[in-house]
Amino acid sequence: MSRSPLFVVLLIGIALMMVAAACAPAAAPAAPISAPATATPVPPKPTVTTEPTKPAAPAAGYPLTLKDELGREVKIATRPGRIVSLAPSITEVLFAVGAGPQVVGLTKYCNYPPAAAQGREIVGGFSAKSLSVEKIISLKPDLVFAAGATHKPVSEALEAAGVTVFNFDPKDFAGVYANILAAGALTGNPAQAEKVVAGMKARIEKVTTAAASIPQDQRVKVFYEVWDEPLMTAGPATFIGQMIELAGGVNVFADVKEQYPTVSGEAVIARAPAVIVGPNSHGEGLTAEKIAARPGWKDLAALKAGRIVIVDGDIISRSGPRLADALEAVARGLYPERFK
Amino acid sequence: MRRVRLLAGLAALLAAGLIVSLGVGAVPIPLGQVIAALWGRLTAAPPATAQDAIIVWDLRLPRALLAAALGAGLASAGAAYQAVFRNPLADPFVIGASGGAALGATLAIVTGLPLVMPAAFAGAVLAVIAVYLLAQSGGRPSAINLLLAGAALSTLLSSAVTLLMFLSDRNLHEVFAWLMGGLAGRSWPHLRTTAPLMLAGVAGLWALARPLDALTGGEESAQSLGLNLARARFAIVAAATLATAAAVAAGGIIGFVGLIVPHAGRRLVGGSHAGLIPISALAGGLLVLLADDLARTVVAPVELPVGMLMALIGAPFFLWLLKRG
Repeated sequence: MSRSPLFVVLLIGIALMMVAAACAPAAAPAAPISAPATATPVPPKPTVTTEPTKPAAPAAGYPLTLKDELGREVKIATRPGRIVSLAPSITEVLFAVGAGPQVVGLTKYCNYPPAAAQGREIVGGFSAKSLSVEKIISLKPDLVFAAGATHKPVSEALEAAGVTVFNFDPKDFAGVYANILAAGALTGNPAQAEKVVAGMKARIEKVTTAAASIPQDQRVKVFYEVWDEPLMTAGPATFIGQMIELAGGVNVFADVKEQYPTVSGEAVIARAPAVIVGPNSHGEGLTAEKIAARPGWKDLAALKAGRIVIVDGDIISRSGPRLADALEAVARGLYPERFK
Repeated sequence: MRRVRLLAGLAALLAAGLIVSLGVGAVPIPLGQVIAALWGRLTAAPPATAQDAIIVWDLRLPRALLAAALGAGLASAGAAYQAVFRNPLADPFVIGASGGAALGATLAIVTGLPLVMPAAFAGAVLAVIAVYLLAQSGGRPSAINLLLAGAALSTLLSSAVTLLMFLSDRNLHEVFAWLMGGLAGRSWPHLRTTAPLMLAGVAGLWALARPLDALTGGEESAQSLGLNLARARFAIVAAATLATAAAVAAGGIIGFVGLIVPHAGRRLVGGSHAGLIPISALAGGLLVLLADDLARTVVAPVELPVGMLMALIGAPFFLWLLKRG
């Protein structure tokens, strides 16, 4: 009857939803980080900018074999001259380590650095369905960077065609550092990669050190709104969840296991967040007026104090070098007087 | 007599279900505080705690009433369509209402217009009108033509929805959540705009109980009873569409209730629509209400889509009923 086409729509929807879920911040199920700043893998590193850079340990030269985040041993024979990136976060990593000139193809969402797309081929969107394997192969890439399980159908097709694929699928900040170092090693830019990681670590440590000194009773309760209809938030295992804790905030949904669960409005009201944070990529655009119009929300402490913080959706959802900017933005939003 | 007792019993259950619903959720509220919160609002006295009052009055009460109205509308529409088409597999969406509503809602979501509810309502109504016109070959539409045109148009509309979802992968989860059906975030404005239409549809179908009974006997016997077949069918489809379109606008596509509840009702009160329509309405309302309570609580603070949950608990129950005979 009329139900069968609907089921097709739903099935396709489920498939696309999985992609979309993986699309937001590219993080897969991860062990929830235990909590505050002390739990983060940020080794002390006082002066970094002037430190002479040494080649990354695994990148003594080519040929080179590295394990990617799907656990596959990937062998690179020579310095890759033609690289294709299948995710905006990967594109940011590649340009940050200085491999930009080697990139020949990227996705339509790769908008940073702003000039990235100029003179480069668009191989599709982010989802595996929207990527064109033919287009990627036609670019004759020496190396393709993919985003783990999300891109599996594409990676498998590419490898069947003899193209080398390396996967990034970081779960936390340490994973991002490892990605950046791997990108440096694989593309022949190890020194720049070390510099990028050292710079990130220094900035992140500055935030976490300051955040660690915030007394427990002064820590603000935060509701992060991923979307309004349906009302979605970010769980503690996501990069967003980790950043809220690193910045000294308390995620009011730190108890959920899901990454981006749909939550009930009454739970938000009962948990009384002092600050509401959301990305500027949010559906209808997050404003205090729109939130106050929801039944029962206008009496929330966050709304009474006018504490609605909008962050750049691109930087907060991409597991790349700009996570340092994202963390600083979250920290400024939560504690404007402590982080200027 | 048995019918009256059943109706009264179900109505009492529904009322009790409504009260219980106000206490359960991500934040459990004891019955005493629920009543205090309701009383506080009704008498404009300062409520026990402001938060309880907000949760009970602004969030749970309108949502519970909406769930009941929506279940009532879908279940009675399902009963009516099963009679009109003399087909036990007919449901409220059999002649295109869900496909039209889905396309309307999806268009509103991907274009970013804040008109998802009216678009879904209009989509459902337009799809049924289109099916009615398409099925009219040589005068009046036959039941089989309506079914076939409904199936074909539904397929077309669903493909259009799929296409839109492919082209716009940014708002995908919003479209997806809508298609799965749910009452998250529904409040008084939703109730005010859609519940009267659903209840009007239910009342209309109840008033049409006699022609529904006649149609159940087949088109020829209905005509031999002196029924104006085309006019009766049009009135029934119009009333059922009103209830269905309003329900879909309010809660997205919530399946199952319109298919199964009428069958369960028939086992309780027999095929006479004067009893079947109100029984279906009350039982459908109760079913959606309880399913929504579960959707709000089983994995709280996370919410589940109510349509999925209802099928998950309702289908085994129906199979049990079937087995029992």
